[in-house]
Amino acid sequence: MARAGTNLRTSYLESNEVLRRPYQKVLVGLILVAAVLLPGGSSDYFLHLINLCLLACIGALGLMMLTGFCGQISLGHAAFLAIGAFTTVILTVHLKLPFIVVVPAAAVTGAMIGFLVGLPSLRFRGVYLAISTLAMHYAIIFVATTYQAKFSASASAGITIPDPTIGPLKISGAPTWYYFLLVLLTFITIGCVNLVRTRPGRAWMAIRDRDIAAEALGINLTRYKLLAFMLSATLASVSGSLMAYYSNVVTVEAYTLDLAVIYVAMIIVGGMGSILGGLMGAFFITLLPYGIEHLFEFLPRAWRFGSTVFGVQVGAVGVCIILFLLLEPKGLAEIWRRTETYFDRWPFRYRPLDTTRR
Amino acid sequence: MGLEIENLKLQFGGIVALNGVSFKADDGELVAIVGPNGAGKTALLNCINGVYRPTAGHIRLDGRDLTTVPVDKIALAGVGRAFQHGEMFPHMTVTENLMVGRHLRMKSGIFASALYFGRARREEMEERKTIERIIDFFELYRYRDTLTGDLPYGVQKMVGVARALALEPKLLLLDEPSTGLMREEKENFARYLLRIRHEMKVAIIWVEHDMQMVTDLADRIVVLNYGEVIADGVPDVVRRIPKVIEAYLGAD
Repeated sequence: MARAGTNLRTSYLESNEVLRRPYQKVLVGLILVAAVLLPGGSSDYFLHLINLCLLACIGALGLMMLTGFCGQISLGHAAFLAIGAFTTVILTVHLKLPFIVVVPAAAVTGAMIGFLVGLPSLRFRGVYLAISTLAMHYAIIFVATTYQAKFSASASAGITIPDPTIGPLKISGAPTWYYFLLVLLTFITIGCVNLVRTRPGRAWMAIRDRDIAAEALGINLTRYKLLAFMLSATLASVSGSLMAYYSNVVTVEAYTLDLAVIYVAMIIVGGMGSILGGLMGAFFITLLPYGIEHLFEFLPRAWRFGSTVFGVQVGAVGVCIILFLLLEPKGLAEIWRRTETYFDRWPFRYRPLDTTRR
Repeated sequence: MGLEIENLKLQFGGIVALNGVSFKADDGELVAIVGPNGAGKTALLNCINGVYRPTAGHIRLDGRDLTTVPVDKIALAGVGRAFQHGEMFPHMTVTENLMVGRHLRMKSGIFASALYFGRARREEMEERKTIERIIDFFELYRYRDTLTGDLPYGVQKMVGVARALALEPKLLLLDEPSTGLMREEKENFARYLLRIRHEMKVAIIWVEHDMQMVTDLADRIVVLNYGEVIADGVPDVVRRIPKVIEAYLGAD
């Protein structure tokens, strides 16, 4: 079919496309090709960092669907990750179940806990809801701590998890994990993108923007809020479960309130209400501390105390949140959108016809 | 059939917002509700809409009692509402706002939508086509892909009416739709209103302050004062009733 210009669309199917401009398809294709070729030309350490990013992406997309699209603030994301990790511990260590069963089981457990944690959202909004999810966080972490104290060799050592196998294939080592996570994240991203451009996504955004009007149009608030919590907890739980397999160790000390805040930072820095933003934010915030550590190597030796580096790493996340909220409240996704628009219009400066991008 | 309101009472503590309101609106009838500030006009709409639960009385739509039905189920029963201040979803485009209006007419669940394949995808395209008719009706072509938060106030209010109509309601509630519109926009709105009345079989409850518009367009006027109906009839009769003149129109 002939196209008159990059913004002219000739069917409803096209108007609902995610990659609307021809070059975007090329760009995504190139990124995927680069992603497939990446392990060939990089060290295991670098791949390990990317794996951490991919794991964070899955969790961040979960929080993005809940907070960025449905508008329900949650500080319970670390607890959801812990649910996934501890479900994995119980099913692998006690019941010796295989990977292919454990991860879906963790997803289902996550969904159930998400349902429970979501129940207060039917009554509370905003800060009150955040506090109620915080309460849930402490309740879940308490249970996990008690469990760990009872079943791990020493209270602080954590619990070891063997490398997972799918049939004859053993997932171990950075490159294998990398490909596995890449495929999984691609499918999850496609699913999320489809959700936000169809009926459930619109219902969530309507609840986020004006819940009274949404209800008057027949959207069942109870159903959609709980669905958002369940989806969010499911993704977080899958991420937590895979993280447990990936790092071969589960310890409750990893699931602090700090971690929940870091996930909130990811979606703020990436840009609320944008799937691309969720991915960008997860990469940015995950890589930030490693980047800072790297920068410190350029400083004189006397400055390179471990505690200083750690302090700067923690502080940088906070500084990033504040800077983004002040200067770029729509996050990295908006920076990308502006850049794209600039080159799309060049040498003209007028605004594009379509102003949305999720 | 249409809407039937019987002896409706609404009380907040000691304050009586509605005190025994009764009236009817037939299918295809345009009923205007007027009255001074605080007369209970919006409270009445909130009761019909299910936002407030009346203290006593009944609301029936086509014979079905809606008095205790929750808000989202009232939409399902066929009540569409355009809010006083638009109440748009500001971070969604006009098309998306209208598609939310089609929510109840769609079926795709979370799994089908995540796959965006087969029926879910066909349904999306079909409803997109339906939306186009509404965009056409309200002449919103230029705003299709604009975020509603970026639109001028007058256009936002029209999108609000369009969104309520997307529901294919049997009863349309309009809460001061022309307030804050420019003269030209008001004239356009009057035209849309008459077209809705003539082309769709929908009863319209229209809360309005512009008496000239009301007397020109409405089939019947219901006048509220302090939560009570003080007049109910055709415009030419109602505007000559001394009690109405005293309470709302003002004497010379």
